[in-house]
Amino acid sequence: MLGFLSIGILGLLLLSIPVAVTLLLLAFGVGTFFSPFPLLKALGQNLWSAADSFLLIAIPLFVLMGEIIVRSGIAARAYRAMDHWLSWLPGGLLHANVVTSTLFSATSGSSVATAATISTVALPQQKALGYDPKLFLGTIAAGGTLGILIPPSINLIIYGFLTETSIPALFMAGLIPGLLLALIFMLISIGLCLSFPHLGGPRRSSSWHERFADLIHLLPLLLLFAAIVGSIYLGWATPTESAAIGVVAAMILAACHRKLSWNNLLQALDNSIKTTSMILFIIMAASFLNFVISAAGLSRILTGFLTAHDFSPYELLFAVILMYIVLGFFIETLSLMVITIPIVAPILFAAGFDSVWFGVILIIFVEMALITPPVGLNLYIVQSARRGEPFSDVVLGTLPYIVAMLILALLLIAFPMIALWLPTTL
Amino acid sequence: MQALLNLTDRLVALCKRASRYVAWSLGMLLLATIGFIVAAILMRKFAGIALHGVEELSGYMLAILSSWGLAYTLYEKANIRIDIAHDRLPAAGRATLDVIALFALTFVSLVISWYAWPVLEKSLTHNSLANSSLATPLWIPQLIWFAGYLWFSFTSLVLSLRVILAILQRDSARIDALAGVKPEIPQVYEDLPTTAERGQPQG
Repeated sequence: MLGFLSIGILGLLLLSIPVAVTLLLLAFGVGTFFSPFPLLKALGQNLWSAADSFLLIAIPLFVLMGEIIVRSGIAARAYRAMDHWLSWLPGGLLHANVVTSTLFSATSGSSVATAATISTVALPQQKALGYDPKLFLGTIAAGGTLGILIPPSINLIIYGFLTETSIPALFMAGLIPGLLLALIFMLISIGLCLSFPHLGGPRRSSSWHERFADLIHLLPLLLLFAAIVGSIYLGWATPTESAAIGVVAAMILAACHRKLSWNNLLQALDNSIKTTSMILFIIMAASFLNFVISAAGLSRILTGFLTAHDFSPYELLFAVILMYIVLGFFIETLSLMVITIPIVAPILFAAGFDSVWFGVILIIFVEMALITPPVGLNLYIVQSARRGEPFSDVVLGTLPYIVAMLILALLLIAFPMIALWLPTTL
Repeated sequence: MQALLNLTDRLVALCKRASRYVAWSLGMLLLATIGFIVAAILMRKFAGIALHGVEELSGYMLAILSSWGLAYTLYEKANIRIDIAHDRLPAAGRATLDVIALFALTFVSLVISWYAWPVLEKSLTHNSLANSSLATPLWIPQLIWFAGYLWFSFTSLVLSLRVILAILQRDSARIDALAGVKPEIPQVYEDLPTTAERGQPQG
């Protein structure tokens, strides 16, 4: 069955069959050939109970919030403020790239939209100020990935849904590692720019007056973020409720910037419905595949295989991580998550790893998949914002930040409390 | 043949337009749900009143969104497809993969509709009520949910039919237009002129 699944997944995906359809076809296959029970008959009930869910509503809501934020014209202002605050550091604007991306992707919830938006805002500066393109592009591509680790994160919701892990706990667990990763990005940029000054650009210092005058442009994003995370942390609101609050706050914000026209709102809604339907289709399919393979006894087969080979938990963990790095080269991230979680998560939980902690580790490698070629969406988004220059600039520029992700993963394996401390204080 | 072509073309255009209206309605439903959830939070926090049924009704909303939105994702080519191999093939090869992908999707949509019906049928015959304070008759949300899958099956059949005709005509450009892969490059909404003007370096 494991062979059927692996070959089936790879084959169907290579044929460019939509991911959700692939998962359902495999579920039909496993249900028909590998189980004595008519598992397919449960399809309808499964789809209904998976979709009739208050938890999953957080997905369209966070998507909509992001769509509104992206249209609110906030990114350019936040970027300028970050420029004033951070460009005195070695590496100059690289830090504004990292921090604006972090803040913007955390609140917009979309790595791709962040990379696209920050690219258009920041790239004119790269040319004007004579920055070397590599690290500059690398910070944008890699910085955009940080948002899926920092709450609110749709990826964490999907992980929580498929593994039945508490979403508030996952959100809290992602916060410190996410901020830590941004810090490691900055430290690496400083290190590189001190050793090889030609990789960076001019350092500039701004007056305190300019800094404080621009602080007001950071406040909206910070407040939005604080409202969502704070209301969950304090137990005032469930993730879904906090998402609804987030949408309303984003609307108010956009209205303050005079970007909340009826037309804008309709477009944002339209895009949200499109994205959400696509995501839901995949989640429903993954959840049915999840049901079928566990009913057909996959975990028993896997556990048997593992005990026969006598792997230690850490050998297992590193094998899984290696698999994510390799698959991450080729598979788009949402697909990567839903395809692997039903198989990988039960094994690791059985080996004694914490489900909240593993969620964080998984997301780090999902972030990495976003910036590893040949299928690394953020790389292409950043590249598409410039023309006629080599794609290799972007790829090379992200390498230091891939190393940063590996460092964070190792830190988390050595000190799980980095992730688990905050959720335990809930 | 020409009459059939015209008919299917018109059907495809109709499905496309209808799925857009459906998406618009779903958007309104989403807005209403947000209003409802926020109202419930405010009432709970400030008036100490618990609004019942928010979670339940929002859950139905999501179920409805999950089935009715599918036709829209299909016609807008928003489904995720891995295009590593697809990209490297000549036009005829790409068209072949597009056809296979569409037929697979149509097959899956029919299977889903087929197995979704018993859920609704059971609620109808047992007159099942939701296990909640609202005690909603389950057939109401399930009927809307099931109809969304029927609509999905219908629209994918229409698209498949049109694509079959395109195969007969050996029109791979048309197949690409109907069922190809859409490159994922997001729109950017920042106002560039103001950005350049505001973001000018100060030397």
